[in-house]
Amino acid sequence: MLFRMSLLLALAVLATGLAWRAWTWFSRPVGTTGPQTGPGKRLGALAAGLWGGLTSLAGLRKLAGGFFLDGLLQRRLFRESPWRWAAHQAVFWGFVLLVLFHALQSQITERLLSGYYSTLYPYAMLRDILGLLVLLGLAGFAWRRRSQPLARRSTGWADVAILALLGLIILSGFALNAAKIISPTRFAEMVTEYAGLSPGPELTSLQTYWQQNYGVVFAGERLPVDPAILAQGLEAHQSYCKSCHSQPQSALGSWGLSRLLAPAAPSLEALRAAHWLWDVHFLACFLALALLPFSKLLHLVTTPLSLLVNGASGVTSVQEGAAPPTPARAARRALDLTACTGCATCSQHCSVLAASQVVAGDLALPSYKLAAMAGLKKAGPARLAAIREGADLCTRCQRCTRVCPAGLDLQDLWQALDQEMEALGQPSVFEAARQAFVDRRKANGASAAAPLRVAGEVQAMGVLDMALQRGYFRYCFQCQTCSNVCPVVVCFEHPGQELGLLPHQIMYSLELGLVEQAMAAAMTWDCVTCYQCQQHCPQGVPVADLLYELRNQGFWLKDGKAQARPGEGACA
Amino acid sequence: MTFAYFPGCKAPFQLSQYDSSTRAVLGRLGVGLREMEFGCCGYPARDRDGLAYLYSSARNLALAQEAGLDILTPCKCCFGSLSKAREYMAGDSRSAEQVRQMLASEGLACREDGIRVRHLMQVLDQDVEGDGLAAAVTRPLEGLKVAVHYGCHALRPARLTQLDIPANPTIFERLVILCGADTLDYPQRLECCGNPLYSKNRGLSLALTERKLDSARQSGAGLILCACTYCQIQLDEVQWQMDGRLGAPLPAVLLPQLVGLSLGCPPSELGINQNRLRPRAMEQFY
Repeated sequence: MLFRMSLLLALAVLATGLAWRAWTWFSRPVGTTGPQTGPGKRLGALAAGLWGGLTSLAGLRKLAGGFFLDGLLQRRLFRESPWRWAAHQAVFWGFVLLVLFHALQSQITERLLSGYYSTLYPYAMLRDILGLLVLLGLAGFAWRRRSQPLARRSTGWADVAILALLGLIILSGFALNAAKIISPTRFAEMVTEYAGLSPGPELTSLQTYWQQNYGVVFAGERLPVDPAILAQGLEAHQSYCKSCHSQPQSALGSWGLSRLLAPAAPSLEALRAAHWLWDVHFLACFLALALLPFSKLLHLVTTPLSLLVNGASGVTSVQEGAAPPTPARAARRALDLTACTGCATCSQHCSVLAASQVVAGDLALPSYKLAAMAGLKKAGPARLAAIREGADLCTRCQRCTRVCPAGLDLQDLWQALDQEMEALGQPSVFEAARQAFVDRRKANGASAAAPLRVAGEVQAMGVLDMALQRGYFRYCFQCQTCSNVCPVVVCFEHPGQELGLLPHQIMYSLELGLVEQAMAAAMTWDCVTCYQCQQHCPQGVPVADLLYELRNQGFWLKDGKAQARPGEGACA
Repeated sequence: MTFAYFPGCKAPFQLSQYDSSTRAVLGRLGVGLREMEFGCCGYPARDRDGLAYLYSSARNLALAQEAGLDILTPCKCCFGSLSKAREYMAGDSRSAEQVRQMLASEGLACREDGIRVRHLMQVLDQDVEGDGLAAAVTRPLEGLKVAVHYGCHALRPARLTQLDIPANPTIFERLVILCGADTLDYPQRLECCGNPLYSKNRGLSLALTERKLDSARQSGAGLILCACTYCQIQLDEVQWQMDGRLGAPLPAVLLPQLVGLSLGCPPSELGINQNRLRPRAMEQFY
């Protein structure tokens, strides 16, 4: 009763959840969208893509490659790490085969194999091996999440919970088996159903036989063992039991566990362990079913989908101002947002991993960006700014996309993230700093003579630290060569007005300690970093590098707050 | 000779023809390339934070040092970034000290007398064994008129990058002449392409690009030659996007594409068809 009801409930939740997810793939807008990317168009694109794939040789080859090589054999994961591939294959095949031939034994195995009973050799042994395989793989997963620094950092409670649930399914299966092996109640139930023996010498002999050879632990004293009794037991066994039961020792895991539990057999009997372990086992399985659409388990559906679609999409366009994505790409983006397995392989290989440890933090890394994209519209201003800062650090090198074991088109998602940021009006870090200094100053109508007051300490000298810059602006004798070779200055008819201060004037501002004033000049932010100034300076003043450092300090000081760099004091 | 290959973040994805043509040319010349997983050179982060830049750059230097190989990069921004970092790390600034500590916590070190950073131009000019590039040219590109674009970040500040004489460099012209083509001087030869401002001040960026292209066009060149990922993106991709608004199109070509042709590589190997603006002047040599 409990079994049927919980199964039906789990299946209902599974179906509803999957339907909802599929709906989001066809309707959710990610990045710029237009009327061309509505649900109808996406469905049409999917149908067309499938048709194209199935009706051309090249298409079939791509689909087959996606399915067999990437999906079943997990080639992408193998390229990343043979060890991870082995662990994943163990869990993957272990679970798939257990579902097909153990969970669905009535529907599949019994029809394929005549004379199948799960307690027969080699089936009991195979089931055990599959269970052990899954446990080994799960142990591998857990090991990686503990030992690889980035995997460890990005492991959340959801990741642990799923691993624990899968582990529970397998372990409860082993425990159930072990409990059944030693259970005299179970033995008695089976005798009633298949032997119909009433208490007497034949029953006792069968019990003795089973105690010796099948591991049952009968309550009270151990039954006396006697060759004659055993011979009689063997006969009884051959009549009633043998056709369905092979010796359980071949199922190493279950047998081993049953020997460990044997001393506690009376307590287990009193607790009816064999009974409620069964409840635990199937309830855990059904819980996993119900949670599938709402957890990482969804990757069982989304990863194969992603890999199948993979070959066909081609090179992602990163052109600025590109047209809204095709319906297929729009669907792909929505799919990808739900398809991340949180393995953090992308972040492990991210080109800006080093830089992210100094600025922007984890939100510069692909796996964190992807997770952040899900909740973008609900993000508050501080969170949005942090996400933008992370996104700005990305160099679009595409390495994350190339290594993703699930084949997600991450590069395209970053373009979508940019578009969503624009739509939400979140300026880039650069724009925000420029607004804080240049535009605000212009809006306040301040003249070049009045210094801009910024709250917080700005140490004019200590700010500029890189080896070659320490106070070197002091050597400037205002020859104006830098301003005369600057290609930006030359662009304006009245550069002083447009740019606020010219390069040589910025150098002198630094000499006077007017750092904020220098930051409020458009020239600081419009420098093209061509290094003509620095190259031509007769005094060796590193003008371009100083402008770089002014911008760096500007990023830290925008919003009028002095923000300490991690691990250092303000304006270190 | 084998180098640790540093393609940079942009070339493999956004300008894959630079990656493929570089490999093709170096392969023909017997220059070995070792693939390693480098991080970003730090140039994009430089604008954001000096320490983030220095750590990113120095980490790459340390990785190459561990492998015992000089770095070869086709991108001038990467070259400039790594070269400068090498000099900064030799100093005693607080940032350098901090980076040394961060590297040490990973078991890495950036030694003062460590590996060199080489740009593709330098390798073609000086590091090809035997009789060098000249001996390998089989199809001189005679009559091809080229305006070379030096770019900024490899050339300046010369004290840190040490590529060539900054006021009048000749390394680029030398290579072009070795391939049999003609180089033309033009006033904006050493000026900036405008790319660094592209996402920060679009109007200013395009003004610089327009000025550059005008000057090169007036010299009578059939194409403008780049040896930097970002410069090529600006002068090819962006010029193409501007659809004639920067003047009559002057195709931009990458150095290894030109060199490759003179070595007898087929155009497909050099990815010339991936350039946005067709370099018609080169087609006679296909």
